[in-house]
Amino acid sequence: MDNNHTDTNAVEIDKVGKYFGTGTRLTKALDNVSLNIPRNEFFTLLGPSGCGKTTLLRLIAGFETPSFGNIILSGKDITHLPPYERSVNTVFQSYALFPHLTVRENISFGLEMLGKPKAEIDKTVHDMLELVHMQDLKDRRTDQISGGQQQRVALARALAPKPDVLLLDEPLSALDFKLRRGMQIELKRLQSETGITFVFVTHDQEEALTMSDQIAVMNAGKILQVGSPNEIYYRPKERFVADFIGESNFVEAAMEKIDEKAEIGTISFAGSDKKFKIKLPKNRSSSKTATVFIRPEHATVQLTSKGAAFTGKLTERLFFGTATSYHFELTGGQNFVVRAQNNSETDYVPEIGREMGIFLDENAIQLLED
Amino acid sequence: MAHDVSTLEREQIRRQTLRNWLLSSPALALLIVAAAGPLFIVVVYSFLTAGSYGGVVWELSYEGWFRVIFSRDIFDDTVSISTAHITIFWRSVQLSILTTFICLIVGFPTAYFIATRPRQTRNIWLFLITIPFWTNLLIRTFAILELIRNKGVINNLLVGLGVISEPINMLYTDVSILIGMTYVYLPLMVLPIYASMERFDFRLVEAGFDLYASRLRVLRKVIIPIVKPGIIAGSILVFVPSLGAYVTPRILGGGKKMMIGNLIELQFGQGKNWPLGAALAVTMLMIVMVALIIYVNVVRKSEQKNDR
Repeated sequence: MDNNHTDTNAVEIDKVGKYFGTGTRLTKALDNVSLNIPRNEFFTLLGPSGCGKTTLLRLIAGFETPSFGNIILSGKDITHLPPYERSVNTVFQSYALFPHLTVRENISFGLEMLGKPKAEIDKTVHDMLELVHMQDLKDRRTDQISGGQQQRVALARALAPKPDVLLLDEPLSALDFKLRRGMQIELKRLQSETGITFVFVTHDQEEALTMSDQIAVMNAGKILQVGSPNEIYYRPKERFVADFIGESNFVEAAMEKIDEKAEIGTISFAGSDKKFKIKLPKNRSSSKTATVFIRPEHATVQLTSKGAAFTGKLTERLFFGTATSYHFELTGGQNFVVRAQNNSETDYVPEIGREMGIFLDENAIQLLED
Repeated sequence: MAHDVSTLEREQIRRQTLRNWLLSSPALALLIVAAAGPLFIVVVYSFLTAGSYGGVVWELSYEGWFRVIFSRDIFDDTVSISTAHITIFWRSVQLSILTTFICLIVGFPTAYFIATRPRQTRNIWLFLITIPFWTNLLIRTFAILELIRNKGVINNLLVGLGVISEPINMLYTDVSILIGMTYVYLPLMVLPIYASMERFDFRLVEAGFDLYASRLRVLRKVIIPIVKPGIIAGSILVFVPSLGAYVTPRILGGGKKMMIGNLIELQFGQGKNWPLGAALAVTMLMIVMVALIIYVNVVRKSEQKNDR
């Protein structure tokens, strides 16, 4: 481990597994996970509920110990350190503010436990109150403030001791839509202002895409893909990732020719003789058919089928204001969705049941790993 | 127009108030008859003259109150402070405080243990805690006697194992009273603390750990302040009946180590001095009140200190 450790990582998860229960009721929460979380980044663990993202967060916080593997914080092995000896703070999903203390006392709690001098505590608390705009409510009890304000106190409390890493366990899930939008921007601002590494857990893919520097997509105790929001969205490696993040079309295609050296393949779709050259992924089955993935907004529709990748019958049309979704049944029987941006010239509305051509750019097609 | 409405509303409110009073009147009547009434009689009796064969003679006298603290020599009427009474008061207060303290030390972890069990098994534990209530106090006290007497279970076991050669004399001492009272009143400490602890959000413990508080500090700075209402209730529930305990000191103290309860009983029985008994009862009530006021003030002060 020591040799591949670098100073640029805030957290290193080294082949960590976590099992709950015993004997026959043993359940796997994390399956041999390795992950590097770079310093000063907004890093998101994204996945459906039960995928192990919260378990991973709790392992970093120290509330759970891994069944095997190591956790390195700023170059130091913290696998067996209790939570109160780790320079890591958590913003809990339930906020877990101390009900017997005021806003100010909640924020100063960590600093007092660290035994900081009073002058420093007062200054930091003052700064934190300012950072989260809670100066006016500092002497309120935590049950006398709104959910959004509690959220901000929870943030200030966790940021006050200036931890190496701040863990956020779905902190926005209890807020209503509008407040949530505001907090997303607020969190992003806090991260860049404080320069603290944020590890953010969410099941909301949109939230993950807007806020993160990097996203790790998880499912069933495994990390499937790590990358920037762009990479995750445009170049998902697996079907699960593509499906979980945004809308996706999966279409069967025939593999016509493979150029192993250039790692390029030629494919075509049923009912069309148009050929597409696409990049081949590393792990690929040698079968003659392949599933490709296409984002709905990367395809266009026209009334003609001449030069189209495939043709389909319009089955549904959903108007979203800025965009319209067209649902097609392809000639092969598969479903396909095209999402088109509406503009001032969008005046023609195709009727349901109409045959239309669906057009693709080569770059829009991606072959998934198996 | 608005004026009419307000008159009507006033009438409605008046009726409602009347109805509320009427509805609560049975409970109020019961309180007056069963609680305030007897207390009033006790206070009145304490200012009367003792009858020769018990009871009271309706003649104003302060003798009962005088004898609470002072004693008069039977022959020459010289007044001296009644050290026997003072000793009994002091023992009562001391043993009650100790009982409360030991119940707290034992009861708090017990309540914590029950509150942290899975929800389905908590009721079983609570059930076990309340089982002793099903048995008569007298029988439970005799069971304790059987355990701690010189030829009792504990001493026989220790002698049998060769830990000690002579049985330890525990019976008829302050310690035996303390053991008995702790055993009897422990559930009264566990239950209110458990009630507070059950509502306690244990995620706050994680929050405390996360913010660099060690186990002891989480206990002191997070758990105890939040479950304090339960601790206060439990302490009062143990202290008050301990101070007036009668059966336990009677059996385990063997009449040698009296507490206030026994002293009062003595005046109404063999002593045939009802006014003194009544005055002692009122004195005990005052001790309880003073103790509670001190206790509440101490708690409030520690709160202010915590607030810095």
